[in-house]
Amino acid sequence: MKVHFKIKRFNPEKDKKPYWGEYDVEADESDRVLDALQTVKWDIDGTLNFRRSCAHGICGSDAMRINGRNALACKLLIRDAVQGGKITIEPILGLPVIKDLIVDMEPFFAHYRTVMPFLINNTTPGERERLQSPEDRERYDDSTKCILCACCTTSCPSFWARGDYVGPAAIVQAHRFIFDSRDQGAAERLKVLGEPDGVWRCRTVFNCTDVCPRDIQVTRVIGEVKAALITGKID
Amino acid sequence: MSSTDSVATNNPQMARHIARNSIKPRNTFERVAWLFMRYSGLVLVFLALSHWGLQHVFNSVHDLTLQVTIDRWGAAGQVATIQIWFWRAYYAVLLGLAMIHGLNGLRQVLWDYFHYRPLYWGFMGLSTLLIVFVSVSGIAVLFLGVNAAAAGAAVIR
Repeated sequence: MKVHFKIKRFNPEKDKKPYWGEYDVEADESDRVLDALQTVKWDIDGTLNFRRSCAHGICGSDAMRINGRNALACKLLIRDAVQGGKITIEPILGLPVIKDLIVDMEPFFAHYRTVMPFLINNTTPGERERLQSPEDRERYDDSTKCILCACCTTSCPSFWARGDYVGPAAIVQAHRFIFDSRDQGAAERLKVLGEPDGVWRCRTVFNCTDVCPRDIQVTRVIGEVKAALITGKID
Repeated sequence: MSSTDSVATNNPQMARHIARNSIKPRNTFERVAWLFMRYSGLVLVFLALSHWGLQHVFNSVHDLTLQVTIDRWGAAGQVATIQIWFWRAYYAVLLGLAMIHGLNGLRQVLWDYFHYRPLYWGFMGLSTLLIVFVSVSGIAVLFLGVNAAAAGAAVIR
C-alpha cells in the first residue's frame, strides 16, 4: 500500500522555522512506522533525522508524536497508524528540538535524576543479596516496566505548560523505589515530589496512561505517590 | 500473619525492612492545598446542589422574590432567629469555600502558565484582593441583613 507521510522537519542551521516534509512510501500494512521512516531516510531523503536503537520497543529511543499521539515508531504498525492513507509524524512535545524528530532529552533526564532513581540502603546486605517476598516485589512491579522513552512526560499538558514539572516518568521511577521494601530513601524522594513542581502538578488527564508503550498505569502510580505524601504510608 | 511476616520471622534482614511501612508526612503548603481542594470540593457539591434544588426544584423560579431573600437572611435591624442564622451560615460557607477553592484553582493555572515570577505574584495579588473583597462584602451583606426599603426601591426602579 502507498502511504503519504507528513513529517515535521527542522534543521536549526538552515531553517528559520519548522516545515512539513511530504513523502510517499510503499509499505506493507504489517510494517512498523519505523520501517517506513527508514525507507524515507535510506531511499528518498537522507537528510531526515530520527533516533532509533534496538527497534524492538525496549530501548525507548524512537518515541515520536504519530498522528497527534505519542508512540514508539518501532511498536506501531502502519495499519494501526494510517488514517485516510496518511500518517503525520512530529517530534515529541515539550522538549527542545535538536533536528527533525530528535529532541534534547536532557531536561527530561534532569527531572529523572532529581528523584534519586537508585536503591538507597545504608545497611550492609550481609552475605547474600537483600531478600524480598514475592508480594513485596509485586507492590511496585508496574513501575519497573518503564523504559524512559518520555512518551508519558511529553504527552502531559502540565509538562507542556511548565517544563519545571518533574513529570510522569520521573514519578514512575520514584514509585519504583519508594514502594520497594529494600529501599530506605522514600522520605528524600517524597520530599522532592512534595515540592510545588512535584506530583501536585498532575491534573489526572490520563494522557500518560493512554500513550505508555509499556502499558504502565501511570496515573494510578502518580495517585499512589500522592497518597503516600498525604498519609505517609509506603507499604 | 502476612507472607512478608513469615519470611521475616526466619530472616532478620527482612525484619528490618518491615519497619519501613510509613514515614512522617511533611505538612507542606501544597499538601494542605491539595487536601483542602478535595474536602472543600465535596462540601461544595453538597451545598451547591442543595442550593440549586432549593431555588429551582422545590421552589419555582417565578416565586423567588425579594421577600423570599428577606425571609431567609433577615431584614436589616431584625432580631435573627435560628432559622435565619442557619441560612446565613449556609450561604457564608458556600460563598467562602467557593471563593477560596476557586482562588486555589486559579493559583495552579497561573503557576503553570505565568513563568515570570513578578507577573505570577502580580496576578495572584490582584486575584486575592478581588476574591477577599467579594467574600467579605458578600458575607457582610448576609449577616447585616437585607435593607428591604432600599432593595425594594432598587428592584422597582
